[in-house]
Amino acid sequence: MPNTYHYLGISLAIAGGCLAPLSYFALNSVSLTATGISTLILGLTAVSLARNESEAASEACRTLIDTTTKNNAPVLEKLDIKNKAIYLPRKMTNGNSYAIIPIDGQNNLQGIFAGSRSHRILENGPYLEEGALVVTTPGNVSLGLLPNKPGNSTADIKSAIQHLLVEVLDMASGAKVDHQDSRLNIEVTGTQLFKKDQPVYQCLGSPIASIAAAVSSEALEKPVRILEESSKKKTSKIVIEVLY
Amino acid sequence: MSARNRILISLAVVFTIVNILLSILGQTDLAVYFVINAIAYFVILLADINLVPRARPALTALSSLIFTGFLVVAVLKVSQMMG
Repeated sequence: MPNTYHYLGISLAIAGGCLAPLSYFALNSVSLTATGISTLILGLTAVSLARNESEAASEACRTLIDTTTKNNAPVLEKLDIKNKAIYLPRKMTNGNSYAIIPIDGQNNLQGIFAGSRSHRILENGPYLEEGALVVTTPGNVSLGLLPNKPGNSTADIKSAIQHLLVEVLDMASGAKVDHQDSRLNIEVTGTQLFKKDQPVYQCLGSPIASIAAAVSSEALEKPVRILEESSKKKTSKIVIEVLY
Repeated sequence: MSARNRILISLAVVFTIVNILLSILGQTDLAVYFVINAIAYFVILLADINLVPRARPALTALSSLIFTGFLVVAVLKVSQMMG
């Protein structure tokens, strides 16, 4: 379906395509001919870029991600769970992307991982407190928007986060990733925050942090947890701890 | 600003600056304008092409076309110098 970029590109290409020969043959002006060629190139570039995702698609994806947060909020608030979510790679969850939140906060993770999943509870014994809550986070949902599984290098993680946040969701303008020992320091610039801090962000992280964590977990094929998250102006700094 | 807008705005600004500067300097060779604009195009595109994955095939085709023009200009200039 034609969009603004199509119309802009076609207009520029026609204008440039007419201006270049006219300037060269009729007006005998080299600089105007060059301007015509430049305009033609700019027009063809705009037409090529029109093939990328539409802004409507970005808006739809952001709404879906917002909905995921809203769906989790009542459950977490009702159970009064404030522990940090652990994002699991699809390799550990039989292909279903989700995160778990230890209910008691004791973090007997090995036991929890070995437990059996029953609906939204990962059971690890007779008591509910010994298990973990299974949640689908904004990050888990957005993994489906990646064209392929990210590689485990820092550059691959950065590229995947940028692809999701900048191009698909249009929620930021750039990202930097620094891997130090068992920590990933991620800086996302030009962020558009959803709303003010919500209580659910304490468990899952903000949508941006959640996406960064889910991508990191999938790329490294290890469980990860959001350790810290801070925002200043339009820059978000996220520290992710890689577990095991 | 999305990657698409950044690419288009960067190209428009750089093309304008290059053409105005060369015109002020009195350049009358169209090949010089084309080569400098083509180099600017490749540099700008190289920086951001990964952020527009679905547009990459079309942009690659356009880049190939410009690169062919670049090569033709280069070959003509070299043959002129040799001859």
